[in-house]
Amino acid sequence: MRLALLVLAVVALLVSSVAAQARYPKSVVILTTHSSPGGGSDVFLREMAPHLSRVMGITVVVENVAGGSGARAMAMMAKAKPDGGTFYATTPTFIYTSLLSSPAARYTDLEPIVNVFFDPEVLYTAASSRFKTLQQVIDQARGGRGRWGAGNPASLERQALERLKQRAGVSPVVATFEGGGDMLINVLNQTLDMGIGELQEIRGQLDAGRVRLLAVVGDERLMQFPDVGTVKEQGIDLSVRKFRGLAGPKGMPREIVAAWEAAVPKLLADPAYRQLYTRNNLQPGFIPHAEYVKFMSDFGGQTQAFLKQSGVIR
Amino acid sequence: MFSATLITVVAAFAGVSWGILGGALPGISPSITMALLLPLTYSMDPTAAIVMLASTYVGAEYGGSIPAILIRTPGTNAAAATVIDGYAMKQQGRAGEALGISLYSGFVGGLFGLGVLVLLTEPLSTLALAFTPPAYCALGVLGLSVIASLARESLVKGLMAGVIGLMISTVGTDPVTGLSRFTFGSPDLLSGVPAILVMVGLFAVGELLVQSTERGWVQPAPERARIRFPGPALWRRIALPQAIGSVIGTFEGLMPGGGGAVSSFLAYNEARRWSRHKEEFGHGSPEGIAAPEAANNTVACTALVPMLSLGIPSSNSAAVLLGGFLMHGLIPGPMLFVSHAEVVDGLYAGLLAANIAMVIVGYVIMGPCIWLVSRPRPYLTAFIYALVVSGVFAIETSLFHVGLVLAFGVVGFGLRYVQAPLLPMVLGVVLGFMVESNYRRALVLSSGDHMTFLQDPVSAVFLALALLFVLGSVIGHARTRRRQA
Amino acid sequence: MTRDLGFGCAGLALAGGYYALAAAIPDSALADAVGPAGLPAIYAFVLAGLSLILIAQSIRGRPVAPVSAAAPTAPASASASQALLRPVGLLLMGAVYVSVVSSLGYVVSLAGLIFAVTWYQGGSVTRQAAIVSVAGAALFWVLFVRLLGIPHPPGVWPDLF
Repeated sequence: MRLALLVLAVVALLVSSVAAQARYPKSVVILTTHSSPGGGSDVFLREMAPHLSRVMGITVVVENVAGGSGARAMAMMAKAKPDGGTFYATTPTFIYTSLLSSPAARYTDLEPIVNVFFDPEVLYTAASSRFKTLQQVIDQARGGRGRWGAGNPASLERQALERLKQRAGVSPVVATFEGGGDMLINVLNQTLDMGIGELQEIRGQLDAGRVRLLAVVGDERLMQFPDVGTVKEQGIDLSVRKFRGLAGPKGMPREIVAAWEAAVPKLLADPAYRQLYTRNNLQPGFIPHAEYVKFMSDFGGQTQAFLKQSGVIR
Repeated sequence: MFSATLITVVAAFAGVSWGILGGALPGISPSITMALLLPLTYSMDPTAAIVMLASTYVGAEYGGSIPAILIRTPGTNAAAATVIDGYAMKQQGRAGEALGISLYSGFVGGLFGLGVLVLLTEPLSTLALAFTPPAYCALGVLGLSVIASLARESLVKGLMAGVIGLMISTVGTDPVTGLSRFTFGSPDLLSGVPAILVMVGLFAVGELLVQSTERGWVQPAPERARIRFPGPALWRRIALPQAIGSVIGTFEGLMPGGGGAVSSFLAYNEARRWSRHKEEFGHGSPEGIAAPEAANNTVACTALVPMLSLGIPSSNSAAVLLGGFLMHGLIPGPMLFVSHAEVVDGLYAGLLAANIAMVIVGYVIMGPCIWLVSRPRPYLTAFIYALVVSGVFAIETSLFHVGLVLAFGVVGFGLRYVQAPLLPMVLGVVLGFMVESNYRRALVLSSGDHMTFLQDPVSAVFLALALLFVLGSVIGHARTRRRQA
Repeated sequence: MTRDLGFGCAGLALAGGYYALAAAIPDSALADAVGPAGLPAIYAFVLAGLSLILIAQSIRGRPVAPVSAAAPTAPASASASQALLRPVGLLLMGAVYVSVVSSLGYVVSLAGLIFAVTWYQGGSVTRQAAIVSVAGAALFWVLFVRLLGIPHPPGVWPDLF
């Protein structure tokens, strides 16, 4: 989406049932996202905000700093005070933007705090297509007759398909689009043999039985679709993890990080919120601070290697 | 039941008023206007929230035509075609009439679109799936073929302006590889040059610059600060352009891509082709306002067809509306009509209320708007300038863009100085990305075989039409020249 | 016809510069057969060709554009150089606005812009003009910042108080 603006929305909430707990130094916490209102990350954060507010006993506000595919939000966050008042909602986009352009601040200028969720990526095809399994799609692609699709040109999804090509030793064409919806049309009308995307994007079609899931591109099967196997189970070593977590300015005090490390597992266990995020097909994926720093630098390194190897960047 | 109706009507009025405001401010696109409401709708009743967002879309598509007519500044992408004849009428002291035609045509287009949405969603959603990459590319080419007839004054200069527009559209992230092209490493250019920025620069800033060269300007003819709805004679005259606009808007609404802007240009061009008063186009033709305004308000309804039935948004605005559905736990797609039929019915009723609200609100605010633009010229220029720098900043909250709009003002001034038409450049900017990305995508999918553009039936038809248009324009061009010689 | 000649030369220069930029786009393993520089190169060649046609026509003195009432008004050639300087002043005011708005803030800068443009366009420097400028800037602030939530720069003021 190419719109951009900044919206400040104070989430009205009931702080009456605050559980007794260590007090967080800030009463209002702003979560910034590079997603514009109505975009995937924005909807996710706005749904999470009231529950997070309740669990932590603070007011959580969502702020959109769209523009430059995250460059603006990163620059703002790198300059913010590390007082626990503002955080940046991470997705792989901020790593791609850091590597593809030369923004004022890069992902390495931010401190990863904790991870909260993983968005499952799935491979799917039209329900009316003749492909019933991933293997059939790969067989079709042998000899260069396959047509696969990813939502955006330089994205985690594209990277996953390119690696799938390598590991399976096939050479289908990979077409990219202007977003997942655009691609979905081409899966439905069978221009493409197979598409890759977030489960959330294809929910409407999935409910109506018009698309068929072929495989999960992650380490585990999904709880909602226990019959769908992972790519790894089919003998191809491929797994991507689209993360959703928090990052902040460098120099974040230890006790603030600890507060989030305590709060996020509590949030994920909260029954009301659990029902909501399960319905939205999000996988809880808490990663504490120390591991998250490593996770992020590994992710950045792998992405950089992929982009360099394919000649997108130097 | 009564209270539910009341809430729907109130939501429609609030949404339309807000939409007209946002649409009328250049740089505040319909999607931004809607997005600003999203946080508010979070705590509302789902139907009321959806109605309010959809009504905002309806209002914004109309609102864009107000500054297009009054100050040569398109408020939205889709209003760019309205600038030509709307501003010409304004300069003839017929602003009230122009606004009346725009409002009335928007209403007709909106009702037509709503009828299509209610009755034909199912078959049209199947049609949306018939559009493959070759078909999109061909549609873009068809749109570009309009340049040949827009550039009547000078074919060579018109084509040059069009190609420069295409060049502008290549700035940003490459659609296939994700490489940054022509961005000079700036994140501000990563997502390209926004079309609305080019339009506001070329038309509005260019106009301010041209006006500043005119010494001893005269105060424009005093306006009657009243909106005038078309009488029976005019009503008959603009019926055909409205029908053309509504049909084109219906199809354009189905397809991801250009949104209302493409439909407005196509409708403008077709209205001229089929008009009995071709010579009036460009000099204040009522038909030149009726066709694009009917088209973009039709799109505001028919864009909901793929959004509701497939869960696929065909424009930024539809994407924000999709966000509104998701926030309330509603998942658009075939099952929505079964599982939440009451929301869908409420939306239909709300859209009807919105189209009526648009006429009422539009009528009320028209007087004050005309009064505003009848202020002394120095003030008017200063306030248009202030409006442009404030609005353009909002596109990506970037001062870089404010500088860029000034640069496009210089380009607009230069093009007018050398007497080259502006519209081909705008068309190039609007359609360039769609043509390039789908051209390359189609070739990727066909492994480089250009025959794919002829094998795809939709694509073949569009390309044949484009060829006919260009040949027709060239022949007409040669004939005019021979007559003059 | 000198204007056509100028447009033709400018088009040729643009085509050349644009082609150079397109040629410098690096190769990518993810690229398709057309490539990121494929269509840009074609555009550059087409523009160059059209520019040459325009230049040739203007040199031969052939009327490329029959001057009609519809052609956009261009400044009259008499005292043209002076008339052409006026837009430059208007642009400079915009440029000044862009450069000071971050430090002086939206309202102050905008009031200054409105006042300056009003004066430049022939309005008189009166108290009324000053009041209209300040009131106008305040109105824009209410509209864009308060109502629409667009974060126009506040300037250094919040830090001073």
